[in-house]
Amino acid sequence: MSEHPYLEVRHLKKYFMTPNGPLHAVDDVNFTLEKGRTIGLVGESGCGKSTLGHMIARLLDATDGEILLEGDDILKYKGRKLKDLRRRIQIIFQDPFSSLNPRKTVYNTIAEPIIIQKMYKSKKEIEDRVFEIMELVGLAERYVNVYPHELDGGRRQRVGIARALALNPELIVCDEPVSALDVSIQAQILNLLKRLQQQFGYTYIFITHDLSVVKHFAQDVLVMYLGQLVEQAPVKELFAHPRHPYTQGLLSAIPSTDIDNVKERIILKGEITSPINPPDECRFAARCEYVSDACRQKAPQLQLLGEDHLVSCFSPLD
Amino acid sequence: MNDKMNETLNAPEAKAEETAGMAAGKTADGSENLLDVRDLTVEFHTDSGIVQAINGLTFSLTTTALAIMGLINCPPGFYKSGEIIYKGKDLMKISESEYLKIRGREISMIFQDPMTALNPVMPVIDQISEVIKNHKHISAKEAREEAIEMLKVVRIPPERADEYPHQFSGGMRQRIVIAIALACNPNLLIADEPTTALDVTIQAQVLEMMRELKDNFNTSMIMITHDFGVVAETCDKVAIVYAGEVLEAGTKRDIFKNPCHPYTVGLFGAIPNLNEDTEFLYQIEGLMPDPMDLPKGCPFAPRCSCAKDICHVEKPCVSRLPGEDHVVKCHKYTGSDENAEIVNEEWRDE
Repeated sequence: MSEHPYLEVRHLKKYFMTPNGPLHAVDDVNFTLEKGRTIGLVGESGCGKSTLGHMIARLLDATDGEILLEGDDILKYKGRKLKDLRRRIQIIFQDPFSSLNPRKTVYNTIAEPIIIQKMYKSKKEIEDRVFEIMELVGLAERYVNVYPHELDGGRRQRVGIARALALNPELIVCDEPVSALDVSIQAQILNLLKRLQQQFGYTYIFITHDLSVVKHFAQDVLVMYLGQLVEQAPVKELFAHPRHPYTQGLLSAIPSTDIDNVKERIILKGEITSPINPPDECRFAARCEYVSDACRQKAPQLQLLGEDHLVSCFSPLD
Repeated sequence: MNDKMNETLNAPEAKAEETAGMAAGKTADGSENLLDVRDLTVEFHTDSGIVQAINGLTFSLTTTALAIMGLINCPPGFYKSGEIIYKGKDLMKISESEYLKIRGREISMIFQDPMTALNPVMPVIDQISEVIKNHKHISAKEAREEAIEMLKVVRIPPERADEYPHQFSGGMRQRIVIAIALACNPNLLIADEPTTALDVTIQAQVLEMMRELKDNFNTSMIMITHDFGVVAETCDKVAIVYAGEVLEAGTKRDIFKNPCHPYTVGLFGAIPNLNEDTEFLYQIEGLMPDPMDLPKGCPFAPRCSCAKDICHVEKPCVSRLPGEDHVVKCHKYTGSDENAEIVNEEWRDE
C-alpha cells in the first residue's frame, strides 16, 4: 500500500460571504481517515459538519486547504477527472423528502448516475444493475416505477442509499441519513449500512448530531464546534473520557433511557456564538463553565493527549 | 368502503398518547381525570372518497392531539365515535365558540416544527400577546407586559421582543412557541415532538425548561415523541401507540422495566445503547401498515416475530398485567381485571 492515508484533510476552510462579513463555516480542519473505516462527525446544527461533508463530496468548493484522496488533492480536479471522482465518492443526504427529484421514478433516480458515468451501455445491463442495487438495499421490485411521494420515509431513504451505491463507490459521505426517521426504521437503515460496509469495504464519513448512533456506528469520532474540531478520539475513548468541556456537555445532554440512574446533567448555557467574524478566542468560551483568561486571549490549538486523543482546549478535563 | 382510521384508546384509564406526563395534573373534582379519551375514532375522507392515509407513528398521534384541540377540519376529517372528556365535559359536543374559550386558554399545544408554527411576518411579542389579549380581554398594553413576562420565563431577553422569528435560532424559536402555549397558564399542554427539530444540547435546555414550567405552573402534559430518552426524562406514564391503537400502556417503570408487547420490546431493542456494544441493532422487520388497509387482526401481526394464526384474524383484547395500570393488547397475554399476568398457553413454551 502507499504511504499516504486513504483520505487526508489539511487546513480545510470554507467561508461564506455574507453582507455582515465572512461566515466561518469550516475553519482550519485537519484529519485523516483509513480505508474501510467509519469516522463519525458530530456537533450542533450550524457547526459546519454538513459543509465539510459536502466539500469532501466536491459539492462545494473550499476557500482554502487540501483534501487528499490517496495523496492526490481532489480539490484541484476538474472536468474529466472530477467526473471520474464522482464514481469513487458518493453522498447520502439527510432529508429523503427533499433530496429525491419528485418527477423521477425510483428506476430513473437510481439509473441516472449509471447512465451519466456510462458504467453500463446496454439497457439490459442498466436494468439488471438497478434491480441488483434495489435488492441490496431491500427495496421490493414493485417499487421500480413509483414516484418518491408514493413512498414513506424509510423507503425513500433506501432509494437515496441505492442512488449512492449505484456506482459502487469507495467513500460514502452519510449526511444525517437517519435523523428524519423513526427508531424502528432507523435501526433498519443503520444495520443495512453496516452490512454493506462488511460486504463491500466501504469507507464512511458519518455526519450526525445523535451521539448514540455514532457510538454504535463509528470507530473514530470528530467533534466539531463552530467550524473547528474541538476533539478527536476513537469512539470508546471519547465516550469514556471526554476531555473537552463541549464534548462533556454534549454527552451529558443525551437523554438516557435508564430510568434508575438519573445522571447529573451539564446544561450548556447560552446560544452559539455567531460564526460571522468570530473573535480570536476559544469559540466555546461564551458557553464554557471552565473559561479562564487564556481562553479569551487566543484560540487553542489541537494537541495530542495520550495515544490518539486530540483536544483543542487550554485546560482539558481529566 | 373499508375506510377507517381508528384512534382508539381502549385502555380503561388511558389518558393520552405515547407518553403522558400526568403527575402534576390537577383535576377538576378530585376523583375525575382531567382528560379522558374514550374509543375515539377519526376518519379522513379524500377527493376520491377514500380515506386519507395517515402514515407513521407520529402522524396518527398528531391527529389525536389535533382532535383534542378540536382542530380537525371537517371535511376531510370526521369524528366517527368516541368521547374526549375534559373536566367532565365532552369536547366533541361543544360548539365552536365554546371551543375557542378552551383552546389556547385551558388546553394548548406546542407544535413540532418551530419554523412553521410561528408567523414569519409578525414580531414574536405580538404573537404571544395575541393569545393573552384574546383570552383575558385586557388592553394591548397590559397584554404586551404579560407577554414580556412570558419571554423572561423562557429566558429570551426582552430587548429582542420586537424581532421577527427568522432572527432567532431554532432553540429560541421553540422557546417562543412554548411561551405562546403557556401564556394563559393552561391546564393541559400537548407537546407534539417539541424537541425533534433541535440539537441535543438545545434539546436538553428545552426539556429542562418544560419540566420546570410543568412543576411551577402545575400543568399536565401530553408528550408525543419517538425518543425514549425524552420519555424517560419527562413523563410519568407511557402509552405505546401503533397504527392508531394503544398497544401497551402503564407507568414509566412498567414500560421501561417490564415491556410486554412485542412491539414495545422491539422498539427498545432498536435504540442504540450507550452502555452496550452490539454489532447489529434489533430490527423490527417491515413497515407500518397502510391506514387505509389495516390488518384484520392485531395491527402489528404482520411484523411481529411471535405472531400466531389467531393474531392475523382476531383483534386482541386488553389484558391487565401486574403493576399499577399496566395494560397490554396482545394475544400473548390473557387476563382480566382480577387476574394477574397470564401468558397464553400457545406462547408458554417460548
